[in-house]
Amino acid sequence: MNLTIYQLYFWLGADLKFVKDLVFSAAVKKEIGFNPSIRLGTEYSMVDFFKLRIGTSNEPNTYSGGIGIIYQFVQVDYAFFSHPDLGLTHQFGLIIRFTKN
Amino acid sequence: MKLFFLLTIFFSFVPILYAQVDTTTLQNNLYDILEDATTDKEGVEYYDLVEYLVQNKIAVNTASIAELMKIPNIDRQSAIAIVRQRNLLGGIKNENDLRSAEGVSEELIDRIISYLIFGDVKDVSFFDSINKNFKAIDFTLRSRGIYDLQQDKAFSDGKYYGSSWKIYNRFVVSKDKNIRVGVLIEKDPGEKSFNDFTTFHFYARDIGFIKNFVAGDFLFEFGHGLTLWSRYSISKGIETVGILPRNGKGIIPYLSSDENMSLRGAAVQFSFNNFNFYTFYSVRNLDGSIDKSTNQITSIRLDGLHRDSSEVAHQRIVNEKLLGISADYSFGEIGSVGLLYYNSTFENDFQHNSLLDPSGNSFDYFAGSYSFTFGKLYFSGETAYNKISLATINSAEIAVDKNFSLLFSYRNYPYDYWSLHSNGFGEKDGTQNESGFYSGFKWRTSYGNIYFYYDQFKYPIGDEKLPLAIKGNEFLIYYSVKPFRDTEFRLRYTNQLKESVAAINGEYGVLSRRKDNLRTELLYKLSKFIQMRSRIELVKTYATAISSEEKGLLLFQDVKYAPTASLSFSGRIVFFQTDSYDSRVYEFENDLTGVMSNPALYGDGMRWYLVARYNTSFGLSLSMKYSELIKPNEKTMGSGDTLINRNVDNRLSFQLDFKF
Repeated sequence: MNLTIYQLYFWLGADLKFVKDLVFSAAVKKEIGFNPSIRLGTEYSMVDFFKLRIGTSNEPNTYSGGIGIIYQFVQVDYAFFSHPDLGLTHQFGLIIRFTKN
Repeated sequence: MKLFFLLTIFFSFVPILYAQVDTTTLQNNLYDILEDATTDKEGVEYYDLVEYLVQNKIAVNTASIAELMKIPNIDRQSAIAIVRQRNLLGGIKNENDLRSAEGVSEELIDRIISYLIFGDVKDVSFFDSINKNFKAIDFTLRSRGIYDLQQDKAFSDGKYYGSSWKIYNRFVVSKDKNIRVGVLIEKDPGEKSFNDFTTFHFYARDIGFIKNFVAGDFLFEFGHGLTLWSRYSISKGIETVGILPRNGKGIIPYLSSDENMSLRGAAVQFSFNNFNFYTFYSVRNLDGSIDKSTNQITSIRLDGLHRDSSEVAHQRIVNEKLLGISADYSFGEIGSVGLLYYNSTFENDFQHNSLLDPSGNSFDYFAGSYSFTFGKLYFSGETAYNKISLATINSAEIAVDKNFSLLFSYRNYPYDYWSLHSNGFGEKDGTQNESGFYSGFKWRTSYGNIYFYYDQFKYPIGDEKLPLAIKGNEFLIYYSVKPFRDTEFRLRYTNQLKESVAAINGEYGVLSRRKDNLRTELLYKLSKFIQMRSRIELVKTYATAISSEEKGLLLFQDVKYAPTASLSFSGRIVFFQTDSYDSRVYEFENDLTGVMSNPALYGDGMRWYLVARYNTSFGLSLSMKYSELIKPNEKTMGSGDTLINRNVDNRLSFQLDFKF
C-alpha cells in the first residue's frame, strides 16, 4: 500500500542583522510536488515599539508588507499579502508574552 | 555584526524531533574526508583502515617520518615539522606541545589528533608480547544486520537464493600492536550462505628484522598506486593539496568486506635501519566470466554478489597467482626511493576485444617511486612499466608557509597500460587511458580558508564504439569560515565540463556535458549536547549537442544529540527535487560504525533517518539505524530486479560491538 502525504514541507532560513534596527531574512521552502520557493524579507525598527516589514517571494510570485506594534507584553501585527488567487489579502496577529520581566 | 539563525522544519501534523549523534572524533573526521567521494561506492575499506589506525595509535615521540605519513591526509612537510618539534623539545608531552610546532596548522592537528599518542610511550617488542602478560589480550566482536523492509521484485519473484538480510560478523584477537588474528564473514542480500564471503589473517610485527608479517588476506600499497594499491582511494575534493602525493603504506593486513580486493597468501617486510625489503605471494580465485569456446577470460567482476544462478556461475572461477618483491630506502627528512616488481599470472588468457583489453595471461610490472624535499619544495612520483608502455605521475608541492601551499601534478596512463591492482590518481578508475594536469592550492587566512583545484584530463581513446580522444576539465572552489565559536559556514562550488561518446540521432558522436554544483552549509552547536548542520545544494547539468538542461535541489537538516557520554542520537531530514537521474544529488549519511552510505537522490521526494548508539560500561556498544526514502507522487520505486511496488523504501539496521 502506498503512503499518501497531503502536505509536507521543509523550510530553511536565516536572519541577518547587518546594523542595529535592520534585519534581513532569507528562506527557502520546499514542498514535495512543487518547485522550491525563495522568500526574502526586511524588518526595520523605526522606534522601539514600531516595526516596518516588507517581503517578496517566488513560486508563486507574491509581495507583502506590514507593521508591528509592541507595547509592554502585547504585540499586534498587521500585514497585507498579494495572494495569487484571492488578490490582496489582510492578516492580523496578536502576541502576548508571558515572561518573568 | 550579529547573525541570527532561524531554522524551522514544519510538518503538517507532527513535528519530528529527531536528533542526534555520534560525536566520536573518528566519525566526524571521516564524514568530511569521505563525503568527497561523490559516488555511490561505499568506502568500507577506507573506513576500516582509519578505524584500525585510531585503535592502534602512532607514538608521536618514536615514530619515523614514514610511520607518521601513514596517517590519512597528513603531508610530508607537516610530518617533518612534527619530528623537528620533538627534537627541539626533547619529546612531545601533550597536545599543546604539538600545537606549538612551527609549520603544522591547527586544522591539520584537529584532523590527525585521533591517530596519535603522546608522552613516553615505548612499543612492546613481539617477544615481550608473547612471553608476558597473557591477560592483556583484546577480543573484539562486531555483528551487524541490515534488512530492507520493502522487498525488491527479485525477492518477491523468488529469483534469489537467500534472504534480503545483509549479515556481517567480525572477530579480532590482538595483543599489544604486535599480534593480530582476524576473521570476517559476510552475506550480501540475496546470498544463501552466511559465510558467502570469508576473510582472515594472522599478523605479527617487530620480530627481529621482520617488521611486518601477514599470512592470509592482505593489501600491498606502493608509491602512488600505479601498480599495486587498494581499490578504494579518496577522489578529488576539498583536500586540494593533501590528496597528492600519496603515501604507499606497504603491507596492510586485510579485514574488510570488499570481496575482490585483497591478496591472499603471505607477505613479509624486513627492515634494516632505513632500508626495507618486502616480498609477497598470493593465490586467489576471482569472480569473472570465461568464454567456454575459447576458454578465455572475458571479464572480471568486482561486485562480490552471488545471489542467483547466473552470479553463482561466475563465482571464483578466475585464478590468479601473484608474486612480487619491493624495496625502499629512506634518506630521513630529505626523502625516499622505492622499487617494485611483481608478476601476475592467470590460469586463462584474456580475450582481447578492444584496444583497452589486456591480452595473454602473464603480466609483469616494474615500478619506481621517489619523494624528495628541498626546502619548501617537495617532489614525488611513480613511474611504472608493464613491458608495453610507461605510466607515470609526478607532483610538486610548494609549501610557501604553513598557511599557503600549492600543488602541481602531471599524470599519463597510456591506453595499453592495464593493471588489475592499480588505483592511480585520476578522473576515472583504472589507471589506464588518461592523461591530465592537476593544480591546486589551499590558503588559510584570518577571514577563512580557501581551497581550489583545476584539473584538465584527456582520454586518448574515448570509447570502443568511437575511438576518438575526448577531454574535459573540472574546478572546485571551497571556502569555510568560523564567524563565531562553534559556528562554521561553508561554500563549495564545482564545475565540470566533460565529453563523452553517445548516440545522437542514431549515430555515435561526442557529447559535451557541463555540470555545476553549488553547496552552502552551516554547522553550529545549539548547546553542549546538540549539534546542527543545515545544507542547501543546487545542481545544474547541460548537454550541448542535444540542448538538454536539467536542475536539481537538495535541502537537509541534521541534528545530533548526545545527552550523556554513553548515549547519542543522530538524525536527518532531506528534501530533494531533480529533473532526472542525470541531475542527481548525493547525500553522505551518518551510519553505523564501519558503514558508509552516500545515496544518490533523484526525482521529487524526501528521506529521513535516525541513528541511535548506546555504549555500556562493560565494553558492549549497541547501535541502530532506521531510514526511509519517500516519493509521494510515485507509485513504484526502482526498476528491474530492484523494483518496489510502493512509494516508500525503508531499511532497518543494527549492530553490536563487544570488546573484552
